[in-house]
Amino acid sequence: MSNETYLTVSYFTVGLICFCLGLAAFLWLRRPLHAIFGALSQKSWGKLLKRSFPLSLVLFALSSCLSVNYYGGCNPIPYKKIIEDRGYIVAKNQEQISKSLSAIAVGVSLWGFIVGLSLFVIRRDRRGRNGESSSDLPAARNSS
Amino acid sequence: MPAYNAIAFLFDLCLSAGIVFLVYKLIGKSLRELLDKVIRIPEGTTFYLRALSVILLCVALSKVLTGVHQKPDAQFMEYVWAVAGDISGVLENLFGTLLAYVAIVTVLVVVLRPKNEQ
Repeated sequence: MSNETYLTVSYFTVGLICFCLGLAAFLWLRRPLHAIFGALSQKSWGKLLKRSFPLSLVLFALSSCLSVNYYGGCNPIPYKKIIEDRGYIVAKNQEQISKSLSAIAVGVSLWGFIVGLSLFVIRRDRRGRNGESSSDLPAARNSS
Repeated sequence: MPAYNAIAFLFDLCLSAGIVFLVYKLIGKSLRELLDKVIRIPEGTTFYLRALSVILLCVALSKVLTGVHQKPDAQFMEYVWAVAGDISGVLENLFGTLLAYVAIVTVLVVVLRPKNEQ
């Protein structure tokens, strides 16, 4: 396989791997997250969060993977030099996967805050409901 | 010695995965107890424990997956230093991540603490 073919194949394969990594992280966290977001009293908010979670995680992983610059930083490497060096291509592929893993870690951490906020809202709603029901009880007794 | 790059990379990978496993084992049990007590929704505890495993693994692997790239004429100790450098990065990342995670859990404890509990 020529280096140019290797560059093309590896670029798209790594893109697919990064997509799958984001998807795997989503699938691993999906069940508990859906249960938490399903418990929200504002159903439309829960639905929005349920749909945004996979999108944000997969897109963030992919964007980090695609953001890797093969031309290098301050001194751009010409395309001909890139395809001459197989080691450089492999290193860039590894960098893409590495960046996408970092993005997943950051994404999951940020979702941790959103889940915390959702748990707070669930707790507050339950307290409110319990408070209402307990304050309703004496009124019901008085009326009877 | 190009094969040594692969061996060093595999060693790097196993070592960092082992460190992640060890860290998770060390804090997992007490974290579950704390989260069970604070969140009171079993799925919440499951989410935060799974999130921790994903974050730790991703952070460690992202540092290691850049690979070991030593020249063919490199000596044994140069490979050792390369692996040591990677592991140092992994530990540094894990430290930062754990700090951030503990901050999230602390916010959870403060926000979700029952009113009657001191």
